[in-house]
Amino acid sequence: MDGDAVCFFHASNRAALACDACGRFVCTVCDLQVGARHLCPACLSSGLDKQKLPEIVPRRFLWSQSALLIGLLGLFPGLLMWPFVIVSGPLGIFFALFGWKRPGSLVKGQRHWMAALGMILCLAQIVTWVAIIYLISAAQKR
Amino acid sequence: MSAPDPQYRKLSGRSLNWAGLGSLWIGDGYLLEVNSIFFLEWYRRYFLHDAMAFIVQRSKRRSAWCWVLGCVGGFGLLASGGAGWIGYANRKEDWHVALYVLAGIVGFVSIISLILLTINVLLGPSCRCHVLTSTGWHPLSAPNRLGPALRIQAQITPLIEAAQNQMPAPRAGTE
Repeated sequence: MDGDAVCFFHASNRAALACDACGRFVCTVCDLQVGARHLCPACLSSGLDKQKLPEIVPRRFLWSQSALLIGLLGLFPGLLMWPFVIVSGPLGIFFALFGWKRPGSLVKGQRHWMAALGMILCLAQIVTWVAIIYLISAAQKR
Repeated sequence: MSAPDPQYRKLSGRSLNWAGLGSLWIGDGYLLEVNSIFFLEWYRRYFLHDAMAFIVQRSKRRSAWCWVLGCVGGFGLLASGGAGWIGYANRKEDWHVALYVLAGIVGFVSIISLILLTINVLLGPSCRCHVLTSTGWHPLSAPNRLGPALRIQAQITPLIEAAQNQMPAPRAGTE
């Protein structure tokens, strides 16, 4: 073993390869293959906790699609369920902005056009809502 | 530590089931099963070096749906026609409009059923797909039609074999 690199976690084991994430030398016991990548236990654990490793992400919430869905729901059923429109506009804009830089679908990627369209629809809801309130108040003053 | 999302290639065929829309993708050394509803996606991965086989089994789902949709469509059309005819025969009564409305609603449902029946027939025979690993059979949500499933099987099998060939051969232990 003299002159050989040793495992970061097991000083008595010869290193087999380096972790693709942090570069630590690991032995065959510590080598965890995830897809085409080789990770050490610490990086795998950290990736599991923070969901930063796309190879082990179990689910993803699609913020931009949600913003679009809220925008559409506010336009059609929102006309019937008017209390929904009060919250759907601001909520859709929040979803679009909050999720703008967050990762989107693992396979289809981030769809910014959906977030943008959702924001436009939600803004339209808010404008419509404000216009209705303004018209009602103006009619009451007369 | 954060890595960019890997590239995936979509495999043919998708399915609509109770869990949402299912599809199958191939990543770097693994199959990725994606189930999605509009705003949420779930992922399951099957590593090619763990897989032993991609299994396709014919199922009777298509014929079952054909029976259901055919019965709904056929009986619905008969009921719609009957309601329309009774309404027409009693057109001097006040309630004949209600029968026309009923005939319209039932007729609409029947036509939708018959359209779905046609699509179901055109999509071809149904099937179930599984990935066989050392831990057992893992059912896949997609594809659920035989044509795409066989195409995927033809694509996947060489990849599984290649991944298995890269594994070190088991050594006869002397220790």
